[in-house]
Amino acid sequence: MYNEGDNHIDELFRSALKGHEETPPASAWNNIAETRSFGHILLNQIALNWKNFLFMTIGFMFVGAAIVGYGTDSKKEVTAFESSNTHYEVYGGHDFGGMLLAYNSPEGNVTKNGSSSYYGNAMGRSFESFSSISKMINLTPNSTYKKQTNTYYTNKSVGPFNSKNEESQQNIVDTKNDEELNTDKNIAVVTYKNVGREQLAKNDENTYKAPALPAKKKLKVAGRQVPNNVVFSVEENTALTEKSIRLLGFVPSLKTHKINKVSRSKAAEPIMVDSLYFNKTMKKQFSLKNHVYASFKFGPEFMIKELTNSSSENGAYLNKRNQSETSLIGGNVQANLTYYFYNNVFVETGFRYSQLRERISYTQSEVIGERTVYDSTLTGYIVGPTGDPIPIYDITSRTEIDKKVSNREQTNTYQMIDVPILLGYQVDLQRWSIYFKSGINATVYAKNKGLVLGASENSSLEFDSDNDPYQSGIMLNLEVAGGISYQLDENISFLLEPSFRSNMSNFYKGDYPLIEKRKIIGINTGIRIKL
Amino acid sequence: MEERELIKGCVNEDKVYQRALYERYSGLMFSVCLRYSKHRAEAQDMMQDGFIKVFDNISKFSFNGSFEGWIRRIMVNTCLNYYRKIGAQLEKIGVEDYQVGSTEPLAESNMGEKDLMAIIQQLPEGYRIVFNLYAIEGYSHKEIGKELGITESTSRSQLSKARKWLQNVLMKNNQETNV
Repeated sequence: MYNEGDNHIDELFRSALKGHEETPPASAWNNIAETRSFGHILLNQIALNWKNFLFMTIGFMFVGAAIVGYGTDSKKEVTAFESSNTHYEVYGGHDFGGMLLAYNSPEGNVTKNGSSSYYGNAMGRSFESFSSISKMINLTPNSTYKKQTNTYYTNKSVGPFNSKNEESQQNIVDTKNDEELNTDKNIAVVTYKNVGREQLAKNDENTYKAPALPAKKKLKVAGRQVPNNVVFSVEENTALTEKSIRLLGFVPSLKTHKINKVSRSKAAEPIMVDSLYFNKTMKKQFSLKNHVYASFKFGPEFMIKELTNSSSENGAYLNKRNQSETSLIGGNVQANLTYYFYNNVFVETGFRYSQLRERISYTQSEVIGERTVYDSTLTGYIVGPTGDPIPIYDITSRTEIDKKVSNREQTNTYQMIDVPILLGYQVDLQRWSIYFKSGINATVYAKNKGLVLGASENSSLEFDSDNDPYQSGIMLNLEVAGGISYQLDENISFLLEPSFRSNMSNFYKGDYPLIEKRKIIGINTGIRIKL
Repeated sequence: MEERELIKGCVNEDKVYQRALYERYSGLMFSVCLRYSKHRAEAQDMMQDGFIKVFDNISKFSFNGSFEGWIRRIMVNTCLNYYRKIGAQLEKIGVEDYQVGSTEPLAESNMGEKDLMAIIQQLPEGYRIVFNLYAIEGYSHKEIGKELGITESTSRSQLSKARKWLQNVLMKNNQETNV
């Protein structure tokens, strides 16, 4: 009876074919190796190891955040008036040839004297005369100051100066640091010997002549001479003759001041001029313009070698080379000088030392015997005289060569020194910057170690020998790079810079059957230092 | 080279190990593909695709069970996918054609492996796949039905027809040899 599970036909074929081996065509391996290109392998590895890639990415982000965090001062912003409960009002100032003295009057006991002079009064005593009041100073939020019929709201304690003056202020501020100032709520306190009323000469019954300039040498901040363009306010509850004066800002010249009318909403958030300097949390925009910088970078690089054959006859050799060569991770270090122009365009040059690596995998075979093998292939059937099928066989003979094959490996290194000449543009975002650059670089020195396979079986071409296929001399490369930088402080930036370069000419000597061009991808980190 | 070392080398994308693995298994796997194909060129395509899948997924091999069996299964699935892609009509022989019958035992078959391979390759597509899966790989009809998307009875039908076809060819071959 027919037994489906134990059939002699099945058994015949199973026993004959289950372990049967058939030599595949020689081209099969080449096709497999070509199909599994670098991109294919990379994507496959990412797909298989996506967790590792995810962890690496997160780790990299943490490291980046930690580096950036190192350069950030997280101190709380303290404004000049934050903890002040007293509603200060400033009623006057005095132009001493460029120095404005302003003072507070908690009592608000102010006497107006004519259209351009005010008397200040602290603790009930009028002690100064100001004959040419040109500015009013906002010391507190929500303060309104009137001069004649105009109402001014200022969003800066020293008044909103025009840009030229503000720039001058910053220049002065930049020469100091907060340690040099006796800070009280971030306001410098200096001692000023007051000129009392009784010392003032009268103009007429109601007004006094302007007091003499206080001696400049007495106006000091933490022992340093105060320029005559410093704005002060007199602190409350101080002795009449020895006033504490608050440093409010720096004024180059009162005569050039402008007060702009600003909205009350802005006036409600006064910002000290010098808070630009003292306030650490304020995001300061650094400018690299018109300076030379040195940068030092290093990082991994990966070479993508593009081999093409100079004629179709070299196809087999091209395959052999492609299969034998695998790029490995190399690296580079570089030192550059960069000059930033006024418009954020920059030029860069320097030296880069690169070491690219690749693995050469190859086999060396040794013939150990030969034999002739006859193959019969069933090509079909014809109908015989009795009507039965008659098989037709095609008999062929071939010579099989027995070889002993051994696998070999070799790591090649390509060392080179490049001189890049790049032109770039940088976009500044406060401490962060994004930049792009491109240009050429010239390989001025190259030294190769290792070998590549030759065209004939078991042959190899060693570098540094008569068979060295590489030409020496200057090679030109196109280079494109971009990056981000973070300004750690005025002088130092941290850089993260992916780069790509591609060489413009063939690496091989003219009579070599293949053409080689390299593309090099890298990512560098480093620092940029202001010189 | 030990199998475990070979596999780890391939996981690291080392071309030397990949080549060594290919050398070790390509003869066997090409034979598997030949059984499912009509000719050598088709078998070569199948084997190439199969080895690419092997190298792509070798890190998933858990070292439980036979590595050769794991590769063979990938090859067989690649062959089946090949026919799925070209839209082979495995259902073209319906249940109505199914005839349960026996095949007579052959007194002796003196055909070589290459001859038997050539005979299998000449089987109609549907017969060939079912016969290979059932008789040589050891799949059940239920598994074949699931793999090919056909019913169990269709699988049985195709197996039966394949056997009859093969028996006829073998018998004729024996008769000629005896003459």
